[in-house]
Amino acid sequence: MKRTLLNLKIALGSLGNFKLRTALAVLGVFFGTLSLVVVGNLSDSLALKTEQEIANLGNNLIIVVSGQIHRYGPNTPLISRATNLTLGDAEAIAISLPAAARVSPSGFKAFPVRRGNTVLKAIAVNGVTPDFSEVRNFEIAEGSPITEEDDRLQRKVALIGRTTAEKLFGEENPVGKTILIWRVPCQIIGVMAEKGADIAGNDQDNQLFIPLKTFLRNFVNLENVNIIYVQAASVEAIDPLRGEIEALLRVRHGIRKDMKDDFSVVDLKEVTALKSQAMDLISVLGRIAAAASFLIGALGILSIMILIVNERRVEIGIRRAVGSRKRDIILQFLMESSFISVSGGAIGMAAGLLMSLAIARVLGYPSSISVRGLLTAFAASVASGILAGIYPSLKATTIHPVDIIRSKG
Amino acid sequence: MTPLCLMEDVRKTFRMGDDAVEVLKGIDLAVAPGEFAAIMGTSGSGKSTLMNLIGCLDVPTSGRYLLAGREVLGLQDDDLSELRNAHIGFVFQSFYLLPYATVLENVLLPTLYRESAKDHAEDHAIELLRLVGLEARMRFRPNRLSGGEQQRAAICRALMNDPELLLADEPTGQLDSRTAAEIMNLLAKMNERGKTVIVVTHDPAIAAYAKRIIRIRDGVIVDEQAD
Ligand SMILES: Nc1ncnc2c1ncn2[C@@H]1O[C@H](COP(=O)(O)OP(=O)(O)OP(=O)(O)O)[C@@H](O)[C@H]1O
Ligand SMILES: [Mg+2]
Repeated sequence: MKRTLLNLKIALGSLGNFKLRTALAVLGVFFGTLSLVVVGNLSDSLALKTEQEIANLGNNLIIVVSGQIHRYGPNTPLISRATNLTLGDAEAIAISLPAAARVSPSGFKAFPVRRGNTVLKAIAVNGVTPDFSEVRNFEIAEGSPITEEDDRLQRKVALIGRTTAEKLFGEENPVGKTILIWRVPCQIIGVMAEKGADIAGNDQDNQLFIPLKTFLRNFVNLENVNIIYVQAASVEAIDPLRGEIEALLRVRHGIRKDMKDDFSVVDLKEVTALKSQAMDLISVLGRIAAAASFLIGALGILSIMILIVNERRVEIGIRRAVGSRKRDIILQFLMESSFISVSGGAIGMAAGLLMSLAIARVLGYPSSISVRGLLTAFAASVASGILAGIYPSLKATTIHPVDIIRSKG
Repeated sequence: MTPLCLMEDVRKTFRMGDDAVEVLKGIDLAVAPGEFAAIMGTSGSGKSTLMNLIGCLDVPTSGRYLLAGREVLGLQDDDLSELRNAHIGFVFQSFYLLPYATVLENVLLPTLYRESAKDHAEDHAIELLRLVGLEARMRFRPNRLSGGEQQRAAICRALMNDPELLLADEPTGQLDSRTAAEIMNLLAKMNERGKTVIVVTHDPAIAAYAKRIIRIRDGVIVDEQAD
């Protein structure tokens, strides 16, 4: 311990002669750890954000859409004009697939909505089953939910989104009031809790929910639904259940092996994939930048250590004369070189933490500290110091006290 | 009494490319514990080479060398380090104190490589510095010390691990005659306290402090005289 402290002090004294070079080398390692920490933390933040977004859609949610969806991404609406999903399909999933905990078929269409003189031209009207609020994570803030009875009796009742309510009622409480949806008067029985925009950027608070049977009989006069929301029993059940749903629907729709599905089972991870791809690119670029910085840092340390070993030939000779072994010398210079890099790494880690917290705040992401990122950054700074120190410290062991004494008398 | 150093037909050849120069040509030498010897000879006669062999900084090309009863020839580098650390203290013409360490830290240097580093090493170092009158300067860096003071600090460093043998190669070569006398008195004092001291010099006035003079010419010991 005492030896380490003394050696460190001597090293610092010697580094003082190469201030600029030392600063450059430290800076290289600094930027390397900085980028690793920032990239690590932001990837974690994004993963958290994606998880939150998916959970916001509904826990363990699988979405079955009629027709094919060809393009995924943040701006792909999950809407299809095809009309080949039926209530029967939903029932079949619910009855024959045990991994499907809840099944909530849904239809939707835009209709004009009126209250007194206020007319909203096109509001999304959703026909939903009573358990849609659990499946899709929609909470009712005020009033009462849609019941089985409402659905069975095709009651003309509606749950109203916060935005729509404000447009129609302003400050007034909408519960108990009647509005005209298309040409059907409906009584508002509840107001939805605020949910914000979905992944596609649509305002989820600007819509109406009515019982599915009411929707099918009185609004679209169809047997078809647009979407079947399926809640899997667990996270692990999601992937196998997707396959089971696909197989079941292919049989029910009479799709032969060589034919394409006439429905799509949406993978929510794919929906958020585009954002992740952008982040992946940033991660890769960040890691390349980190690698380049570490390389510069390591080369800087290498050149300093060569200078230092050369400057301290006498010191090395004397240390050998008073009894240091070669491995003591190697250890000493490896510690010095990793000290240079770790000091850069420590500042880089601190700065990286602050910077990633700031970036997460600006992007509105949940801030996350990636322990793995920090450990990687720390390991990389130690490793670059040690690697850069190997050659100079081996060179130091070739210095022999006899040569020192001979050259200086 | 068994000698501290025993050399029999020690030869040292330096190889430089294809040339081989035999610098020591068969040295027979025995130094008993407690002796104070001076090695004298003209420049290039091989004094420093002999000194380096005695101090285990280098190994003979052939011959036999026993230090404290241990055969040196054939020892590994690590074993030589250990031998130097435990048995030998070096004093050089150019002092060779580490510039970025304090005087006290310089004196402590040999303890860094001692497996059984003593807890009271620092007390011992301060005691040595007091002995040579440098107690007040122990927190200074060496460059603030005069030549004589630096050499006194270097002697403290050489004494730090309590070696049996003190080797000094031209210890007064960079000092004026008054300071040189101080240093030689100090070495004589250490000899009185039981250290075996060997000094290399070509100055007869310095050699006069020793009780035995070993003359070397052209790689062989030509003349021995003891007071
Ligand atoms: N490592 C070496 N390689 C080649 N030649 C060497 C080496 N060390 C010493 N010599 C040669 O050996 C001879 C004796 O050198 P040494 O240093 O022992 O002399 P010295 O008696 O100490 O001289 P001085 O009084 O000048 O210090 C010289 O000719 C020197 O050039
Ligand atoms: Mg010499």
